[in-house]
Amino acid sequence: MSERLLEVKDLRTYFKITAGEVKAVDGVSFFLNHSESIGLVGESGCGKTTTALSTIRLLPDNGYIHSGQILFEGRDITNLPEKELRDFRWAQASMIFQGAMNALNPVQKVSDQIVEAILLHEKVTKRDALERVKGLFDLVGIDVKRVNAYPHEFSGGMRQRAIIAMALACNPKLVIGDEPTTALDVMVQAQIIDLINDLRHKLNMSMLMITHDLSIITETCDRIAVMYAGKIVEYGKTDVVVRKTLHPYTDKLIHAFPNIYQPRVMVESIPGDPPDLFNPPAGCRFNARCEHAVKGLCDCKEPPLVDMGGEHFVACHLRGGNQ
Amino acid sequence: MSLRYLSKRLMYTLFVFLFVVTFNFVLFRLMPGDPVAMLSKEIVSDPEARAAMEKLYGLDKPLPIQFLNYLKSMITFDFGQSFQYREDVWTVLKDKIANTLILGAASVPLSIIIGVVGGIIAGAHHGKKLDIGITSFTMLVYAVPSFWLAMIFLLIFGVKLGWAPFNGMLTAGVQYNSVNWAYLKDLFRHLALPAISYALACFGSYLMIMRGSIVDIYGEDFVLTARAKGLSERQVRNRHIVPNAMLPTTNMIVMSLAFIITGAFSIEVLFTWPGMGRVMVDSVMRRDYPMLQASNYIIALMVIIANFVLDILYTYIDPRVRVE
Amino acid sequence: MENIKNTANTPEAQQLSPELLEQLKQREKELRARKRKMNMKLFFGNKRAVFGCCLLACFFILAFVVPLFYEYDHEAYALGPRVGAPTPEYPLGFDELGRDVLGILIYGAKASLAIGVFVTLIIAVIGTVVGISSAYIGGLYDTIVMRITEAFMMVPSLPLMLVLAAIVGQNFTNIIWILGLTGWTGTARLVRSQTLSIKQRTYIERARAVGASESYIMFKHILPNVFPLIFAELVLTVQNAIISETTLAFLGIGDPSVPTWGQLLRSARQQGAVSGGALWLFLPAGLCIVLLAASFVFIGYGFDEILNPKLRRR
Repeated sequence: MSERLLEVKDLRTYFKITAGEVKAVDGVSFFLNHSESIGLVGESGCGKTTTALSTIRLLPDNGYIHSGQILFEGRDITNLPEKELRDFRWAQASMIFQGAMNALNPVQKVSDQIVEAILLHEKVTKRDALERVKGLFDLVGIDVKRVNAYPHEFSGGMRQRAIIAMALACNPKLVIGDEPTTALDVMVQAQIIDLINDLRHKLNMSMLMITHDLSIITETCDRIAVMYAGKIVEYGKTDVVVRKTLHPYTDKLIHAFPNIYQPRVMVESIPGDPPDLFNPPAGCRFNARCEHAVKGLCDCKEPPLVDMGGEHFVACHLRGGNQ
Repeated sequence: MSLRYLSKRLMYTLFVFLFVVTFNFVLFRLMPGDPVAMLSKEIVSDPEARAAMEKLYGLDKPLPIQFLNYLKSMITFDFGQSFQYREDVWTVLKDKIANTLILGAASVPLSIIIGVVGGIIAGAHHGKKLDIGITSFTMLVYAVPSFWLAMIFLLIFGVKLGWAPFNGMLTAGVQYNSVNWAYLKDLFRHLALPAISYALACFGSYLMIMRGSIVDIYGEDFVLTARAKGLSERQVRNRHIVPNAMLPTTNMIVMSLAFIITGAFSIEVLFTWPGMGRVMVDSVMRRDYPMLQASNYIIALMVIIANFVLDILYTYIDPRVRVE
Repeated sequence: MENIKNTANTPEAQQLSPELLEQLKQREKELRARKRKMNMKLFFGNKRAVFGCCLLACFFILAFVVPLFYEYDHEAYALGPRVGAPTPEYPLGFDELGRDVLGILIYGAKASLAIGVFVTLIIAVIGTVVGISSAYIGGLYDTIVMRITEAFMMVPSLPLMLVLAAIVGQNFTNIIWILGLTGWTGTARLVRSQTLSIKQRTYIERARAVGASESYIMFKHILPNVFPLIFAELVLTVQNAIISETTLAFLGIGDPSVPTWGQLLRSARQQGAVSGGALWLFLPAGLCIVLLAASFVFIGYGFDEILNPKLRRR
C-alpha cells in the first residue's frame, strides 16, 4: 500500500450558470498521507468546500469536475462509475457536516440515520448495527440512553457529536470535516475540537478539515493549505506555515484572528473583496488586495506554486516564485 | 404523545364546535326577519297564532335560554321536521350522509394518490420538461369545474361508449334485500364515473403542494448528508425527501377536508347521486330551513371531528409536534 | 424578493442634507426601476404567465369589444326553438328559453370578469384589514381574531354559500357578496404572516426608533411591501371566485336576469343536453370557464414563481 491516502492533482471544478462558467476550483493539488490530517482554509467562496465535495464527487447538479485527478489509494475517483462511487462514499471517505445546519433528517431518529449508513455498506443485521451505534454514541460522548432521540431533541453540541458518530460509523479511511464547529458556541466548539483530536489519535484517522477559522486548523491539523480564489497559495506543515508565513494573504489571514495569548492588538481586517471567479483577474489573484503587489508583475503573470524547502510551498512572485 | 397536546387539541376542537353552533344560531335565528318562518312552513300573520307558535318553539324566552335550548337540540341531533319530506330531519339526512361519504371515500384517496405521486415525479424533475408538462397540465385541470369534467366524461364514457350508467346510485327499480355481491357490483358501476371525474378534477392542489415541498426539501442539508452516505438518488428520494415533503401536504389535506366533503356537491347533482349535496340544493329551492340548518351543522361537525383525528395522527408522522 | 427599504421616506432621512437626500432618493428610484425591470424580465420569460395574459386579453376583448359588433339583448327570449341546434345566424344555437347561446356566452364573459374582480376586491379588503390589524395589534386581539378566522376556515364554504343564498336571496350583487364574505380567510392568514415577517425587519424598527407614527409605518412601509407578496394569491382568488360562481349557478343559485356560463351548464343538465347530444349548450360555455380560469391560474403561478424566490432556486 502506498503511503499516500489521497492525492489531488491539478483539480479543476467548474459550475455552470446561465451566464457561463464559474471556476470555483482552478488547479488545486495537494496530498494526504495515512493517519495524517490536512486543513483547507480560506474565506467563504474560495473553493475549499467545493474541493472537499469534489473528493467524494458530491457536487450540486450544475457543478462538474472539468479536469484533474483525485487519487484515493491510487484509485481515480473522478471517473468512478455511479455504483462504485456510492460504495466508495462513507465506507472509504465520510463527511462531518455542519451540525447547526439541517444535516440530520428531522423526521428520523438519529440512530436510524446512522444505522442506515451501516446497513448500506456492510452485511450486518439491524440489531448489530444498532449495537454499533450505541458504541459510537459512547465514543463521542452522547448518553447511550438517548439512542431513540430525534434530532430536535438534541442540543447543538450533541447534534454535532451525533454527526461525528455518523461519520465514523463505517470506519472510513478518510473523514472530511466541513466546518464542523461553525455556529457552535465557544465552549462547545472547544469540546468538539478536543473530541476530534481525541478520536484522531484513538482511531488513527486521516482527516481533511475545511474551515475559515485558522485556529481550528492549528489545533487539529498536521498540514495546512491556504486557498484563495480557487487556488492554493500556500501549503506546508502547520507550524511552519504559521510561524514562517510566506504568502501575504496567509499573513493577513493570521492577523485577522485575535490571539488571546498575546498582547491586545486590534484585529486587522483584509481590505477589499475576494475576486469574482466568473471573471478572475489576470496575474496573481490576490494582487488587487495585496499591499506588496508589484505593478507589471503581480497583475500580469500568474505565480506558480513552488517548493521553498521542507515541503513548504508558496505561490508568490515576491517569495522567489519567479525563479 | 403528551397529554398536554391532546388536551390543547380537544379545547380547540370544542372552541370550533361552539363557534359553529353559535354561527348557525345567528344565521338561522337572528339574521332573517322572521324566525317563525324558519321553524314552520306556514307563514303566520294572525298575532295570536303567532304568539302560540313562538311559545311552541321557545322564541318567547330570552336569547341566552334560546341559545342553550338550541345547543341542546344540536347535541341531541333534534333538528325538527323537514318541510319538504314531512319527516324528521335526522332520519332523512342519515342515509344521505352515508351516500356522500361513499362517493368521497371512492374519489378522495384516488385524488390524493394522483396528486402525491404526480407531485413527487414533478418535484424530482424540477425545471425539466417533464415537470413543466405535469405542472402545466395540472394548472389547466385546476381551472376545470369538476361537474363540467364529469359532463365530458359522461358524454364520452356514458353516451358514446355506453360503459357506465348516467345517473343514480343503483339501477332504478332493482331491489336489494341485503348488501350482497350484486348490490356492490351495481353500486360500483354507478360510482365509477362520478368518483373518477371528481378525483381527476381535484388532484391539482395536492400535486402543486407536494411538488413545492419536494423542490424545497431537495435544497435541505440532510439530502446532501444522505447522498454522502452513498444512498442512490432513488433511496434519497424515498427515504428522506418524500417523508419530509409529506408533512406540508398532510397539513394541506387536513385543511381541505371541508372541501373534500362538499366539493362533490355539483357532481352529486349532475349524477343525481342521493347525497347531502342534492338535499341541500333542493332545500335551498324549497326554503327547507330545518334541513339546511341540520346539513350545515352536520357537515361542519364531520369536518371538526375529522380534523381532530387527523391532528392526532399527524403527531405520528412529525416527531417535532409530539414534544411541543 | 428583496424589499427596497424606502429609506428616503423615513423621518431620519429628513435630517440629512438636501443633496444627500436627493442622492438617496435617486438611488432608491434606480433600485426600484432595476427591480421592476428584472421582475418584468422574469415574468415575460415565464411562458405560462405570458400565455395566461394573452388568454385573459382575449376574454377582455370578448367581453368589451365583441359586443360592439355582435348584437345581443339579454332579455330577448324565444329567438329560436327550445334547445334549438345552431343556425347560420345563431352559430351556437339556442337554450331552453330560446335565447341565443353565443349572446349569453359573450354576455357571460362580462359577468364572470365582474364576479372575479369584485369578489377579489371584497376579499382583498377584508383579508388585508383582518390580517394587518391582527399582526399589528397582536396580543389577545390577534389570538381571538386568528382563532375565529381558523374556525371560519374549517366551516365548509359551499354549504354556507347555499345557506346564505337561501336567506338573503339570489340577485347578482348578493352572489358577489356571498362569495366575498365566505372566501377571505386564507388571504387574511397570508397577510398576517407576511405582515409579521415584515414587521421584524430592521427598517421598521428604525422607523419606529426615530419616532414614526404607527399609521405612518403601516401605510408607508407595511402595505406597500405586503401587497406584492399577496398579489399572486389574489390572482388565484379571482380564478376561485369564477369557479365558485359557476358551481353555484350550476346548482341553481344564480340571478335569472343575468345570464352566466354556469347557468348555461345548468340548463344543459336540466335539458339532458349530454345524453341528447346538444353539445352547443355545454361545450362552449365550459371551455370559456376553463380558459378564463386557466388564464388566472397561469398568471397567478407565474407571479408566485417571481415573488417566491425559493422556487427559483436550483
